[in-house]
Amino acid sequence: MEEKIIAIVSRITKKDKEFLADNYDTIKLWDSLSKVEIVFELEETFNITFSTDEIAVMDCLSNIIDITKRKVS
Amino acid sequence: MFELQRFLFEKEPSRLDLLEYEYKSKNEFTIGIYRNHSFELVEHTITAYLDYADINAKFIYSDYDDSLTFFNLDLSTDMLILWLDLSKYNYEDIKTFIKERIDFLYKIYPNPILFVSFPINLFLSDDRLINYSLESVKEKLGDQFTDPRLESFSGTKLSAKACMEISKNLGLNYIPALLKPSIKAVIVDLDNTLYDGVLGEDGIEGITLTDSHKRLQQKLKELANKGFFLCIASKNNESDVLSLFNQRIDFPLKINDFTKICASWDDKTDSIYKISRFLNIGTESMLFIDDNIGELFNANEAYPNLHTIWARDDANITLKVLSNYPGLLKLKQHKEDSIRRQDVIANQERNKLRDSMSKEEYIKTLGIELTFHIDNIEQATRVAELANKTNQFIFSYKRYGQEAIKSLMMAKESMVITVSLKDKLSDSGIIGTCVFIHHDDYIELEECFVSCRALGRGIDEIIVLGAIVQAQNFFGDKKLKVNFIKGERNLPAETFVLSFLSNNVSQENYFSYTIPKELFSIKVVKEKF
Repeated sequence: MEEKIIAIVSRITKKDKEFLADNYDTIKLWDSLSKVEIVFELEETFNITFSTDEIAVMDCLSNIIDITKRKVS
Repeated sequence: MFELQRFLFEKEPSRLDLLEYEYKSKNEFTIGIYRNHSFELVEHTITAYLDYADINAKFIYSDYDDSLTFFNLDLSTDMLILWLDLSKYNYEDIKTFIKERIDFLYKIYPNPILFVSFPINLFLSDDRLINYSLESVKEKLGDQFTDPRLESFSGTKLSAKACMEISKNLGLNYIPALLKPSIKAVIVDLDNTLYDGVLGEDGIEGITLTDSHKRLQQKLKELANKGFFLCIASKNNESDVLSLFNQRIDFPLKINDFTKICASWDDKTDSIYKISRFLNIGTESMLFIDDNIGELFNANEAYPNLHTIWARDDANITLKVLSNYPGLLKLKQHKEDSIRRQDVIANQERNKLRDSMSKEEYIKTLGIELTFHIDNIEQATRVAELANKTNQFIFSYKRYGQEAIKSLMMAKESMVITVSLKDKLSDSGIIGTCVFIHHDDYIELEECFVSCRALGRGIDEIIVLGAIVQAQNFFGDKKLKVNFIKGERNLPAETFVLSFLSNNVSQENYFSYTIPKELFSIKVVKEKF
């Protein structure tokens, strides 16, 4: 699942998967509109719905992966 | 060749697919977005749709401005989208406020304006701007139309699904309708396009009208009723085709819906050429629908600017493409739309008459009535439409918008003369326009365009030169300067200019012309302010 999430983030932000993997906890790698696109795609792919609070903290890859995993399980 | 058609209408592309799509079109336009909420989510998924319309758009954004000051508005954009979330306003009379601000906008912005509002569709009954209602998107998506949860991140209450629907409607329909010349004729193949089966093999009763083919035919009939020329290019015997439409009473399309039928064993590129000659329009204004990709390929090779749809076995897909094909959305209906087909058919009669007598006798027999309207503001919409779709008889490609025409009509130093034409065979409505600017001691013919429907009747001369005489009479100047720009397809205009106005091109010289009043009935209607 992690790989799938990284692939989605990579396609939307146009940043290499390797780069993202090396920057798990780096914030501000994308703007708020890219974040919204990431949310749309994750919700569509995993058939989940994030809350406003969850979306608010999805500013780095590690948070996105944690929240998505939690949501799916 | 039809990859993009299949991508958009068969693959059902995901948001991510659309997000990653990049323009191939080199046809660049700029679109201003004046807004009080975010449009970016629409822009993210619009590229493929605009590319299908051969538009490469750059969007230029305003800040979020609830007060609609229009400060720092980029006036050079090709069109403007006014993109408003009306829930941000507390005014009771929001409509009056918006109308006032739009009135101000008209004074400073000359190009087309598209108004898009929600949660209510504030339909502004004003012919100066186009209203795109989101009601159908709202109806389709129900609760999923908005997504307030994301507003603080996205800048809009609209959901991702709503934004995708809006991208599609704007990209395929509204933006092309405002930026590009419209399609005038739809040419259809018959076998496996309008029905399932092959007429020559299965016979009239053997071919099947599936439900989806029936809906496709209904759509084509609707287009014919809206003023598009509907024609047939089919490899069949003409007599079989005529019998087919007479005998299959279950077909929504009837023989009278077609303006021209080319059914023969000739190459379809020849049929397309014949139709183009008959209608007197260029192939860039024609859409050809065929199930045979080889025929489509040949047609596009012969006429690279011809629009084409690959008809699929599942006619629902063909219908989906046709219903969204760029250039087929008519934003305004004019009197001329309903008389166009009748007028072209009357041209056949005119040609027969012309071949049997002298030019003078022919003109007298037709009983032509010409009306020169001076600055009739009610005609501004039709004039702007004609300015944007005329390609053959046009002098300088000004491509005025409606507002620009109105300003020219209202200004003291300019004049817009339209020419309406009527004869015994048909009422053609407004068929030509001349725009004049009055300088100190001469008149400048800034632009002139005449509909292709009026050409070839031997009266081009009086339409244009007659309008010049009216302007000379009004302004009292005999010196004339004519603007002319040679374009790709305005050879008829060039020939005319060389024959009648060569002394006046780009230079002020005396000009005089005597209207042959004995041949025509002439009326002048002055409405100058």
